[in-house]
This record gives sequence, C-alpha cells and structure tokens, in this order.
Amino acid sequence: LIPRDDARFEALFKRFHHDVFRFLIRYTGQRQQAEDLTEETFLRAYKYGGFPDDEGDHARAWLFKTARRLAADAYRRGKREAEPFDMNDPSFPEPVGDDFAGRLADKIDVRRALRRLNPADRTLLWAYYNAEPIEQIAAELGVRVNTAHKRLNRARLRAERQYRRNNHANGRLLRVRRS
Amino acid sequence: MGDTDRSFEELLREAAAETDPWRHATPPSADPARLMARLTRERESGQETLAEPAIIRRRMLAEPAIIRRRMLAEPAIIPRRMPGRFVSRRSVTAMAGAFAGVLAASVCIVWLGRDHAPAPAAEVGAPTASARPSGAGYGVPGLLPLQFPQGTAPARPVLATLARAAAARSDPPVSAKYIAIRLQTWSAGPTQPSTPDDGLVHAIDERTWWTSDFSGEQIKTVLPPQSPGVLVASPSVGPQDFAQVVYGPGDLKVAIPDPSAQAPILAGQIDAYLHDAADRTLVTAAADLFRWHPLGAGQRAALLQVLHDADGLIDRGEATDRAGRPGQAISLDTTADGTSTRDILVFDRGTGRLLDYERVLLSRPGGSAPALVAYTLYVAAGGVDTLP
Repeated sequence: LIPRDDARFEALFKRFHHDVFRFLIRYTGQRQQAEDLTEETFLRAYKYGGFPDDEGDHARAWLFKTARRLAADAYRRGKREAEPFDMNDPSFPEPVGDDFAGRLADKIDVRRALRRLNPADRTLLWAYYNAEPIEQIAAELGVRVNTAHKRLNRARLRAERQYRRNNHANGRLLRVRRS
Repeated sequence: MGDTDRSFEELLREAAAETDPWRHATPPSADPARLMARLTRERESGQETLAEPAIIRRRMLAEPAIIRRRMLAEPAIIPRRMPGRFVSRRSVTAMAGAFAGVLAASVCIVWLGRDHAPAPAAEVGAPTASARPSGAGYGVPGLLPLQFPQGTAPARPVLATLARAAAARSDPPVSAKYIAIRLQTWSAGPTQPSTPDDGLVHAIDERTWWTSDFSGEQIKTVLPPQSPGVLVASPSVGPQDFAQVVYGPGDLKVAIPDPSAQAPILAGQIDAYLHDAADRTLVTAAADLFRWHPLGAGQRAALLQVLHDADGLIDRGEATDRAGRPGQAISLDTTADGTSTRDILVFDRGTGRLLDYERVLLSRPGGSAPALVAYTLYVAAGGVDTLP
C-alpha cells in the first residue's frame, strides 16, 4: 500500500474526479447532489488511507463502489422525487410532416420508460448509448465484461417492458425489432 | 399508429443521448483545494474520526478495544453510538440471560427431538467432504445428508406442494415496530466477530432487529466450538462474548425491503435484487429474504411460486437440518470461473418456511471439494416493539 500522502491523493483526485462525477450525475440526475456525493466519495477515499500502486485499478474500483453505495443510499432515503431529466421536452422529430404526432408520442413514451427505470439501469443505458466502451463500464461497475453485457441487456429489456406498458396504456403499439 | 418502422433500440438510443445529464453538464473543476480545506477543518476541529457512520462501524468491527464486546462478567457498561445513551449492565445481563435461556431451551428441545443414532454418511453418490481444507485454520462442518430420489428430479412438483401448503396457512401479519430475526450461521474464512483459529467449528448466533427506516441493532455471539465434520447445530452454554452493533437510519441493507405477496411482482423485485450483484442467484435471494423478513403466508407462497417457475432447481428429497428439523430440500448448481457451487434450501413442509440454507463447493481449481462454504439456520422470525 502507498502511504496516505496529500500529493498522491491530489493526483488520484485529479485523475478520477470527472469519472466519478459523471457516474453520480447520471445516477442522481442532480448536479448539486452529484457534486456533494463526489466530494464525499473522495473524502472517504482520503480517510481510507491508501491504495495499492497498481496503475489506479484498485483505486478506481474502490471509488466507484463507494460512489455507488452513497448514491444508492441517497436514493433510498427518499431523494427519488427529483426529476432526472425533463421528460416532456424531447427534441422534435424531423421532418415535420407524416405522422408527426405519433412520432413525438413515441419519443415521449421512451423517455417515460427511461425515467421509470431504477437509477442503476438508467445510468448503465446512458453510459452505453453515449458510446462509452463496455470495458470502461464494466470496470466502473466492478464486474467482468460479460456481466456488464448481461446487466445491459436486462436494463434494455426492462426499458422495453416499460415502453410496451406505456404503449398499451395509450392504445398504440410500436413494432419492436430486436437487435 | 405511431412510427411503426422505427425499432425500439433506435428510439432508446436517441432518448438516452438526449437525456443524459452528463452531456448537458459542465464538469466541476477538478481542484482538490476545497476538499483538502474541508479535511483540514475537520482535523483541526477533531471531527475527522466522527465523520460518517460507515467509518465508525468499520472501526468498531476492526478494533477490539472500541468494539462493544464485553465479557458479561465484566463490570462494564456497553456504550451506544449516540452520545448520552447508555445501556446499563443490568439490562445487558438480563437481555443476554434471556437470550441464553431461549437458546439453551431451543437447543435442548432440538437435542431431545433428534435421533441420536450415528450421523449418516455424506450424500449418496457424492464424495466425502474434507472436514478441514488444507491450509485452513478453521474446522468445517460436515455435508448435510441429502437424498437423490430418481436421480435428479426437477423441484417443480415439490415446490408446488410447498406453495400450496404455505398459501393454506393464515399467519397473522407482523405489526410490531421492529422486525426480529434470529439465525445461526457458519461460514468458511474470516468472520465477524472473529473466531479462534484453532481448527474447530465456530458457529455464530446472530440476532437482528430492524425497523422501517432501516436502522436497528445486531448482536452476534460466538457459540461453543465443535469438532470438524459435525452435522448438528452448536449448543449454547453459559455467558458468551458478544458483539453488538447499532445501525443508524438507512445503514442496514435490507434485501427487498417490501416483498410482495403477488408472485409476478415478487419475481420482478427479485430480478432487480439479483441485478444489483453478480454473485447472487435465485436461491440466495430466497435465503436473503428469509434472512431479513418474517415472511407471511402469502409472501412465502409467492416466493415458492417464483422458485417453482424457475429452471434448474432440483428436488433433493427429505432432509434434516442441523437443528434436527425435518424438511424438503431443493438445490441449484451454478458454475462461475471454473468453480461449481451448490446452493441448498431446506423448507418446512407444513408451513413453507425456510429452515436451512447451505452452500457447498462442488469443484474448484486447485482445491479440495466438495466442501461446505457456509450454512445459515433460520431459528426464529417475528416482531418486537422495543429493542433489547
């Protein structure tokens, strides 16, 4: 283990600060809360003492595990009312014309499905669909790549289930093509 | 109809891209100055060591001097975490005395009720477990004898019977302030509280009280040692060391806080629970549910129905758990990273309650197998209005 020294900790902070904040803002959907939890995560890292000198792998796993627990605790303690994003303001489908209303409704339904997912699923989907490598996602989750794929598929299925539920409730049904 | 030619995948990709908070957020400055200033302030004001509960709890478990662990004979008081609150020695003695009495009575009942014939050999068709894996400083209990009726029969028929038996019961719901669960556990490797490294089997009596805000209390007692290969639960004799931990609101990680009595809903809850950790299986989820909840008849029936609907569960016939209680055993085998494990559940045939959960290592690269990894005996579950 490396000793707890401030210079080493500052290097760790600079290296992983954005990654941890990115994870937390996705999980909480709120900037202020994400900033607070990021600070708390690094505060605990400092108190933890030190990490093995292994190119940061251990430190990254530890930081994300702590961030995940802090975010899950905050979620459980009733901070889930916050809107993670504006559901009713999707970008307008282009071009305006054929079945514009239907396409707009589809977009709102998918957003609603995304919003109803648990934050862990939502965070995973946001990371994946914003082109983050699956290896990085797996490392942040602290799992193997295969497991990350499985979780991703489960999250996708849950989103699809929510979406279908919305569609049936609205009397519409989108044809779902599995990739 | 809406845009029927667009796939859900495309819509989801589009929605995820548009709504990702990270894409629309300006990253905060990665300047550690603010954090270091906070640390300095905490250090100067002496708050650092009391910063947050997780740190306190870890320290309690790590340092014998701080952990609330006392011999009952000592003229000591047991401090709680909250300043100004204390438990008197008298109440601790009374609590521990009552607990020891109940445990002694239950063990006596179990002892009187069980067959004192020599313990049967390990399960038919399986190699004998090594009582002490090479290099381990702890003793390992024997494998529970299991039957293999007609080879490996699916567990569906017996689970359907158990679900019907559970549904036919009418347990009154637990309406007390605290849920109280009592277990006896053993697991390979390090334990909390730590057990002696003497090559003997050290089971732990674990009592947990928790309430709706996920706060509560846990008392663990190391039970008297037993010889390796033992098949019966450890008895309790006299006053013992115990470790008491108090959890603040939100500190206890309760598995599926509100389990449904509707099988489809419970299946969804379990699915989400399994999603949170890769090493969980349906069987361990069932064991975790009983570990935290005094499940009512409807919840038990729903859980048994969920197990019934799952693939891969095997009927292991009638089994007697380590407390001498007869029950119906089922198992699930899983393999990961070259290591095969078997999770076993033993249910009470009359009530559908879980009596025993066992995990057995079937094979592992470079190690002895089969060997018991852990067991949990479900001793009691109910509710109380006040903490001990």
